[in-house]
Amino acid sequence: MEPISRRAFLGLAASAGVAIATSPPSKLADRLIPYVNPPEYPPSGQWATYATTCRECPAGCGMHLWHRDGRVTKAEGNPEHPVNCGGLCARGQSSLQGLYDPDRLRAPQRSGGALASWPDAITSIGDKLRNRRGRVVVLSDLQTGALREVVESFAAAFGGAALFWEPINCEALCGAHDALFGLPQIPAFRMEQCRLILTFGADFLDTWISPVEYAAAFSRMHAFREGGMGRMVYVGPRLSMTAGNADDFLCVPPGGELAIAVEMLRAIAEKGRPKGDARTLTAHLKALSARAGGLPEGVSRARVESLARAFVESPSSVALAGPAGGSGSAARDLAMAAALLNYAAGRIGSSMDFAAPHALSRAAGNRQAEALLEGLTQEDILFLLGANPVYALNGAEAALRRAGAVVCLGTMPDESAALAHWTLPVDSPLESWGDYEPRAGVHGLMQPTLSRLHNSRPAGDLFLEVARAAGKPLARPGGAGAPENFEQWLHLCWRELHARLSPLTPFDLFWHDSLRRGGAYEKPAEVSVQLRPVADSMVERAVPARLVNDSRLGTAGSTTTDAELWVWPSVMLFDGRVANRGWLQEAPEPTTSITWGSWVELHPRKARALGLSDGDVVEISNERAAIELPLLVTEDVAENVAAVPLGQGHTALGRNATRRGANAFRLLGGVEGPTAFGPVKLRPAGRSAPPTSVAPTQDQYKRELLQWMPLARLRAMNPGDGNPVVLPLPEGFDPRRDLYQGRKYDQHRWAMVVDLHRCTGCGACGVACYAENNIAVMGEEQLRVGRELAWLKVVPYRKEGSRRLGWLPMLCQQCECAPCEPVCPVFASVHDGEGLNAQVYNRCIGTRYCSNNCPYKVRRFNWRNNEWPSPLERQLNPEVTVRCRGVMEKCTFCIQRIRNAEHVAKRARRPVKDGDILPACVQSCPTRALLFGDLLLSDSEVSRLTHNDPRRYHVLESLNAKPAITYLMRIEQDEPV
Amino acid sequence: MSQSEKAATAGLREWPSEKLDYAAITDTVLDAMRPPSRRYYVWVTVLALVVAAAFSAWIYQVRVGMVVTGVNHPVGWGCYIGNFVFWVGIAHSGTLISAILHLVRARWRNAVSRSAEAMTIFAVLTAGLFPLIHLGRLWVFYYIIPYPSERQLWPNFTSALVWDFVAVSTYLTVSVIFFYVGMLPDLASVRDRAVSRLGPDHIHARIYRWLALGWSGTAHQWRHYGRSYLYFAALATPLVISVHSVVSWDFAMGLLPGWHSAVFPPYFVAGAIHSGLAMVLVLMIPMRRWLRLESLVTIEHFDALAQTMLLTTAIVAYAYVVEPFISWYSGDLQEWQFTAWRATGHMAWMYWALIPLNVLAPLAFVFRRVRRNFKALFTVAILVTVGMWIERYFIVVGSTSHDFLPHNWGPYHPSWVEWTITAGSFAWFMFWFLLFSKTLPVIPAGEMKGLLAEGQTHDLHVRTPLDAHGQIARSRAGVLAIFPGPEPLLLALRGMHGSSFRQLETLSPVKVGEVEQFLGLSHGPIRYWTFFGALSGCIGGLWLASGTAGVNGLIVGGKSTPVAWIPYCIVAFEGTILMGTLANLTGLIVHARLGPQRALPAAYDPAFSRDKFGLFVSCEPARLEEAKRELARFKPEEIRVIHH
Repeated sequence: MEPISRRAFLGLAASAGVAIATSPPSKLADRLIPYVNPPEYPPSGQWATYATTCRECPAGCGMHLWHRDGRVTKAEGNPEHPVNCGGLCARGQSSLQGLYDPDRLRAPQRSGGALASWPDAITSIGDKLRNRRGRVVVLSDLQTGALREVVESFAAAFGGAALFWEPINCEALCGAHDALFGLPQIPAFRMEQCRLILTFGADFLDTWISPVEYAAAFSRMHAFREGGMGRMVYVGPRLSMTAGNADDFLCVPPGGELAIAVEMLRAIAEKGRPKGDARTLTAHLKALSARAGGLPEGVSRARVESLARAFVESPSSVALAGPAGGSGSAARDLAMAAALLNYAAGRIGSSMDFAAPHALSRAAGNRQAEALLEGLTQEDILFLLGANPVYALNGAEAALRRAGAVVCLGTMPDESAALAHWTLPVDSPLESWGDYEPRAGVHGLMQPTLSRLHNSRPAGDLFLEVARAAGKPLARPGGAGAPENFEQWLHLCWRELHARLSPLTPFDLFWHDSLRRGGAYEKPAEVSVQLRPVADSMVERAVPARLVNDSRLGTAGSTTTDAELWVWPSVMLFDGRVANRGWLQEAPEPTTSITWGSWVELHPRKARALGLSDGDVVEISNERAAIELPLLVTEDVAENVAAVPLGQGHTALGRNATRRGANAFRLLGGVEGPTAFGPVKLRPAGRSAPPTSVAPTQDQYKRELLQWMPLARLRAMNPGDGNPVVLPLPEGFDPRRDLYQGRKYDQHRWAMVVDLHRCTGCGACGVACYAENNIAVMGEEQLRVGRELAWLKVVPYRKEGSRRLGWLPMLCQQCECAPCEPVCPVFASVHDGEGLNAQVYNRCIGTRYCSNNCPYKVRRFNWRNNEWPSPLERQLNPEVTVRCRGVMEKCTFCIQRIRNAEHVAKRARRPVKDGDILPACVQSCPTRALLFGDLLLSDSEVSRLTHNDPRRYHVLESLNAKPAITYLMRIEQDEPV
Repeated sequence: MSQSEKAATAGLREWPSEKLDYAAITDTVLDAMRPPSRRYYVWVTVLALVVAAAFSAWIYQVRVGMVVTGVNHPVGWGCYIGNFVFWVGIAHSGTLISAILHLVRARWRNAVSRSAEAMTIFAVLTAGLFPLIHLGRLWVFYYIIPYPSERQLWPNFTSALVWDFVAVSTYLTVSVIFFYVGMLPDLASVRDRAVSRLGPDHIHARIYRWLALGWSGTAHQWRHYGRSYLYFAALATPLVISVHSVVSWDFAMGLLPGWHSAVFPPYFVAGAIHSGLAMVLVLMIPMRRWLRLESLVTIEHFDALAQTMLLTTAIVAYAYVVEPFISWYSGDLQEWQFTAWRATGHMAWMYWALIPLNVLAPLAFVFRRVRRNFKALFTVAILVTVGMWIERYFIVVGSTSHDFLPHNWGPYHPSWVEWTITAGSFAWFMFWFLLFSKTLPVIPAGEMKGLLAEGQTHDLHVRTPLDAHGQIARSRAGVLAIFPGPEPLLLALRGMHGSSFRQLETLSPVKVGEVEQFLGLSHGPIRYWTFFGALSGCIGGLWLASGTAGVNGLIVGGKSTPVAWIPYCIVAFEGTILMGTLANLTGLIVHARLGPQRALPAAYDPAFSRDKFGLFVSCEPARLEEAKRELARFKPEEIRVIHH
């Protein structure tokens, strides 16, 4: 090549410069030809979301799974789903930890833990079936769609029975509704339209039937609008999370609920004008009153009557009956009383709607499960699918040991799997196809959101293959032929649905639309409901002897060592199936802030009588079992009650669940008495082992951190009234108070509004934050010394001078005059141009001065290099740094989501709109208590509330940090009913 | 200064006693440096082992994370920061004794000042470790140092931790310089004894020769040295006050109830001196006996120390009373609840222990019998040391564990790692002090001899000073006359006025103030060095802080601009002291012609660092005999002719 001349070089350089300057790459992009066939999978490095259905409990909420580079990292509520409308509870969030659980079953196993190959397993089980001499029995968790069909056909093919059983199953409700209306169903409770919700121990915000749905409905009915707000009255023996949100909490001993309900019914029947068939109603009332005791202490007849009047006269109201785990006759009587109240007030068909029965109506109760297992013999083959009877059903362990063969299909090495002869790992609900119908007309669809992690199989395929190996290939009843696999079976089911719902659209379109929306939804047909006469068995039933002696109920507590048992599923651990998930173990239980354990609650007088104090271990026993639990002394339970949460006490299931707390299911079963769970005996165990609470006190010490406003006052206020808050903007600066003038923001000033009145304390936001921001689980030992890493903590506080609970979501307040910033020696804590208090992890040297100086103490220090046992690390959000030991971390308002939204807006050449950005906590909140937005945008919701809502206030405003989180006070009903 | 100071001075009027002469003082001090006993080596080994254990614990902590300590949420600072404050406090009395008491001319300070200064340095060395130990990420601690780097990020000069860093490092620098400069004449004595006993090539002789920087005690050197030392003292005094004030701002600048208090700076300074004086007693009482220094360090000195402690006791007691009062008077709910919690919560035992330990125990010093009883002194000193450690710990941990939001409250218990490192810090401190006690002169012999000289020369005056400015002789030929004390030296100097010899030089173990007057020397140029050094430090500090803020452009704490002038004044102040001291030192080195390799003048004799005073007359070789005759008139002990 010839050497280039200087002249030529300059010429080339000049023309190249002109070319670069005049042809920006964005113009080139316009001329790119798009794919003719777009790739099926999203390109790497980009988010995709998959709609699916949550299977963590029978509620069946819709989920969106955030997927990136072959793994899902975040579960969110599906805003289009009719059940949860975008919210998702802590357990739903944790489905990812279930998917990535390091202790998951990874390959087929024989008893004793010997691994086997799939062909071996299938052939061997098939042979067993072929040579069976006894029955083939399937015990499954609640399934409704294609999988239910497969299981039922499997059981039918081998002449056996299939039972779909849930440990917390509402069989009392079904039984009561069967007895009253001939409908063994759980109706839809339409709470959002009610002005009064009366709940008899039904913790519908915690775990009862469909908590996310009910929480959203409750927050709507309970919100202040047009000068008023709905009221919730809770009657029960324990101040649960739901009771904490009630406007009136009537703390009554177990059994007292029935007395009150019956008394109300009597008042309505005698003084009011009951709707419907008054004669039959009176007959039922008579039958029920024979089994109800007198009104509990502290509840006057006048009060009950006024409650009854309010219930009838309210434009709409509903009575609910709990408890969630109750299955005896007492629970059924209560459910009958509540249903009769609804009937008498004319709520059937409106707020209590049998047109759309809940999936739980199709769940078998404990009685049926017990009956099924009791009949097992040496000859029988038991298949378990997702059910863990050994943990949750008394007597199941003996039955399983008795059975000829136990084949366990599941994802976790639980207590039942430990006794199984074959353990077959099935796909997690997030890895498999499936469908679930949480209530009539809502057909939720499930799709694989990532390729399977381990050597597992779809549960449906296993049944098909085993049946085929046993020589009896399964076919759909009335369907076309024998489907190859479960996916085909599902398609066939959905073809039927398609034919019913939208026969005019092509199936593919219907299918993809359903996949995209998370399911197909239809309006169920109306049903007419009639009150049936009193069944003979109801009248004849003897009054329990204990009641004859004393008209008061719950007399078990009258001696020191006796108490009435009250068992409740906690909002985090529910029936215990999720107990191996670090997020849920670490998430504080809303009313007690206890983590990583279980405990028993006793009234102070009871504890004193037993000579026990906080943290002492108590032995609780009845004829079935004895468990030992540490004591929490609290006035939140009735005096004769020993309240115990469910969910802990596993002997298997994995590293986090095993040997933690005690299993209260052991105390349940076979109760036929005046109370739901029967009496227990208490005995000091002579040692102390305090549970780990992450909030040492609920007392506000007169600091007015969580504030209440009387409804009457609020009613008299107009927008803009009330104490103005000091804004985190230049107008919030005052020369009399501030040394500086404040900084102007050009584009955004992010802020949040937390409506404390809407917050029910469920803690979903906290777990969503763990999932979104790669927050490490520290474990009980570290939490005990205060080293949890939660960026967002929902803190329970008492109303000053009362026992009323409220919850204060506490996260970084993104203060304008952030006290954490000037103290940092290395500028690791700085303010960014959009008002965020940013923490630069790379700069942080770990002096912890910022945390000391943060009045809200919302900064978290990395005490060690945290580890995510494989494959949990696959859940980590690639857009958020995993912090190393020695640096401070904190809430960022999900800055990655802000940046993504800004990026999307920029690409679309439009400004960021209000509502574009949803931090993880805001997104997850079932009740929409959290609101995020731009304070500079005058018409944004956040701006409007911060400026105008009469309930607005800042926590610790006197410190003049100018926080960007405005809280709206809880509203207090004027007077009790 | 207070009544107690005056009383102390009066009690020490007769000191040093008649029995002590120049030679005895020098020999007592140098004899203390004789090879140590086996017990000494055992102690040093034990201490070194404890330090090694603490160091291993530290390494473990760095590798695993702060999880191995008891620090938690909400108590972000635990016993490490308590130790830091405690040791910075211990570091205070050294410079107090050296600088402030030098400025107010308290005679009794001399006996204890050297050990107190050494204690200061070792305590700062110990204290300085704790902010590092407590860092979450030790390996990037240098982010806090202001230097231009590729990261383009500078420290945040509004942070009290940066002030702390600047103040403590300035304090260490200044203390080391002050300590070393004050020791120069004594190092010359050590050098001379080593040279004469072990020969000029022995390792000891070489080390001390290097350390003594060619100190020869000429009038010229003493003149600059005296001024320089005065300026050091003047700069160190506000520094002492500032350092613990700055340390207190770590807390007082915080929002927390119990920390956010204006009483903290004086409270911390007084507490620091309180604990520092106690530590001086703890160290000096055994050292006096083991090193046989009874003749130099007498009960009068301890009496004076004890009386000073009475003053600090009063201030500390006042602070104890004012804290709850202000908390009540402020009407602030959280402050008052915090105060109530301090008195009744789970840490109340500490709160109530402070009063007997830090107030009632030293209050016993009002009794003369207690002040003059070594056992009582030692016991009280130990109690105060323990009490002040508890106080520091309590201040750090108390407020953090009980702040604004009750749901965050939580206790703190130090872990074994923290206890090991805390024990290691005491061992580390003692280790250095033991090394010091055998390798350096533990009593400022030069200053004590100076006290002797003061008493011997007070009625000598001169009418017309010798016009010898700029003509002081150095290594040229001349005649040297050796005198036994300052008085004959000054008489000879006065007598030389009549002669035609103009190139005169004295060589003395102490600064004889009148010599300057007799030779007609001015105050010298060092003050200009110091002044311009200090000025440049002040401007430089402001420039550094505001300039880096401008470079960063980062906004913190709701300011409207990145620059905040008020906090930068602290940086400017520390710059003033640091640069003033460094310039002062440079001036001294330049003008007194000091340096490790510098040769001694030809007329120098080792006795001049011990007990002899020399007058050297420089002249042409031809006039040597004449000069010899002139000098012989003053009856010197010896006359030597120096032929170049």
